[in-house]
Amino acid sequence: MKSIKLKKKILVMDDEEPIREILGCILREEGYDVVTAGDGIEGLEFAYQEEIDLVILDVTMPEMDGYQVCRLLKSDNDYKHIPIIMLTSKDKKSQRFWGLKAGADRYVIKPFEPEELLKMIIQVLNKE
Amino acid sequence: MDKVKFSIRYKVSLYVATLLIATVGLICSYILYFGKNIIQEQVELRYITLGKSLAIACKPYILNKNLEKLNEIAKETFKEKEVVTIFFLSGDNNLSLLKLYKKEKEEIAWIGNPVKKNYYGENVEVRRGKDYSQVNLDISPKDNLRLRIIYSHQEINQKIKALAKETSQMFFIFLGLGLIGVIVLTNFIVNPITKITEEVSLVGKGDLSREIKLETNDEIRLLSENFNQMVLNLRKSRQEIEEYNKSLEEKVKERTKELQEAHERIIQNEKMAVLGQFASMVSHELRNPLGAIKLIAYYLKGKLLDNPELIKHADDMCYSVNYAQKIISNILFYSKPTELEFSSININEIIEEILESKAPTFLRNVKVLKKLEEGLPEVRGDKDQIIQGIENFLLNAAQSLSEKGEITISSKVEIRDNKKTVKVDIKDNGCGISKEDLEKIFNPFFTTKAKGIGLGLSVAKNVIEKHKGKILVRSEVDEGSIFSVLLPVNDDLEKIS
Repeated sequence: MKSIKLKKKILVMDDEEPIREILGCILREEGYDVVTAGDGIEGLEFAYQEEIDLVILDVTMPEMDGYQVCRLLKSDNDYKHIPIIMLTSKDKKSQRFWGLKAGADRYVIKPFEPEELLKMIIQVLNKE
Repeated sequence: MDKVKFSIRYKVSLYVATLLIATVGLICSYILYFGKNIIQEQVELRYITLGKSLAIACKPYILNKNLEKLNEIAKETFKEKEVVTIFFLSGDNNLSLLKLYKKEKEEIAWIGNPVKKNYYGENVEVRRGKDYSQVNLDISPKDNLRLRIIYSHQEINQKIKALAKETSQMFFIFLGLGLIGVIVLTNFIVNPITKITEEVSLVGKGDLSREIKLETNDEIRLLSENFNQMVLNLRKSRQEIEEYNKSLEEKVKERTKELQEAHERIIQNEKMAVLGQFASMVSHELRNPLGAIKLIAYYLKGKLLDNPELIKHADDMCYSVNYAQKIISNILFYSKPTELEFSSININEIIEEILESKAPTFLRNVKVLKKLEEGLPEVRGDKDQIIQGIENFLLNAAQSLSEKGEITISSKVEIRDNKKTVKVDIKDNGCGISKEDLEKIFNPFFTTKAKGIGLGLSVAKNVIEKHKGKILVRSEVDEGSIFSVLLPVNDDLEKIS
């Protein structure tokens, strides 16, 4: 039995510290629990250790990129239920394609409007 | 051309003058010769008549030997001043002198052999000498009496002299007239030839503007007309050649220019490529920090609920970041052409989306009027790019406005060249565009504003052209501009929908 959580926990993976941190602040402000990670490996550790409800994943990261993280999580039966939103670049359509191919549920094109992301988070979490 | 040795003028003059002199000379000598004879014969006849009347008068006195009467008659006869001597002779062959009368003091140079004998009827004979002539005639053949009168040639010579004088005068008059005639004739014949020769020589030297004009109406004129025709043809063909040369030159110039332009374009493109890579790199790197700033601004806004002034600053921050992001996306569009991702799009929805979103920060203080036609057919296009294009037109319009400016954006369906087209007009009442600038506004990096890098319209045009659309611009300085975007409607798409 899983313990009942009041707050949904979101894992933010982005190598850009300011983005990671401010996204964390914004999401906390919206009432979510947030953990942040600066690279793929660190992010995966959080994913395996803690009960995560949603992963926000940047494509370009050191050590292990967004696709790899996405594939690992989606190929693992224990974790494939966790929805993943990928942050992709506008000018690289291939990123979107490979993001969805790797199993991401949604993608957001950078630069994005904060409201857009928040709306999407609500949608994804409600679906679950 | 060499000078001719014997000109036609010289030849014709020489021939005709010689002929003339010969003819006139011949006529004059003929007149002189026969005139002399006629004069002599006239005189001779007169003396024959004198002799006959003398013979009749003297006959009775000779037979009667009346010397007194004879003397009287002789004296009377000598009144005719030419008469020098009168003989009365008798006998058949050996004539004996009966009586001789001599004029006083007159010496007879010749009595002997005559130069010429003329016979006038029976028993009348004239012996013509050099200075004197004698008339012999019978007084009475029965008695063997003969009469001889000798007269001098003084009168004859005078008459002949007068005749010669007149004839020579006539000769010179005729010769003079003739020579004038020769000159006129020569001119008449030779002048046209000379003229033709001169013109031909000039044409030969290359002056094709010559034309021979003659007032005659003969073979020479025919020749000159044919020559003129020939020169005309020559001139025409030369003109054609010159024109061809000229056009060739122009073509060469054009080609050279094209080549130069192509070369410059290549260099420009190379520069642009390097610049593009650089710009793309920089822009890309700027994206994430800008994204971060935007998020921070958003976060701060949420934290500053009780401070409207700071909220406004945070908003400004968002707008500025949006503007920066827009510039970056224009640069990236230019430096890294992306493939279009086509889908069916509704232009009205796109316009609404642009106007409602916070992205077009430049429209914040601008009044925008919408006149959107309902039920607009959908077009096929890359939504992001169409948005980028229309935003750029709006940005351009907004930047041209002064404080009280407004923008009208309208959409409607039009039939153009038998094709259904969606037309979007972006109209402003701003500063307008001068005619000179109008040609350049779509060139990349062309800008008349202090701000902006001049990529907006260039990107917009590129986007619209990629969608097989067209852009029309009308602009008046100080009155404003209208940019019309024409996008073709996909009929198949419409049928399906």
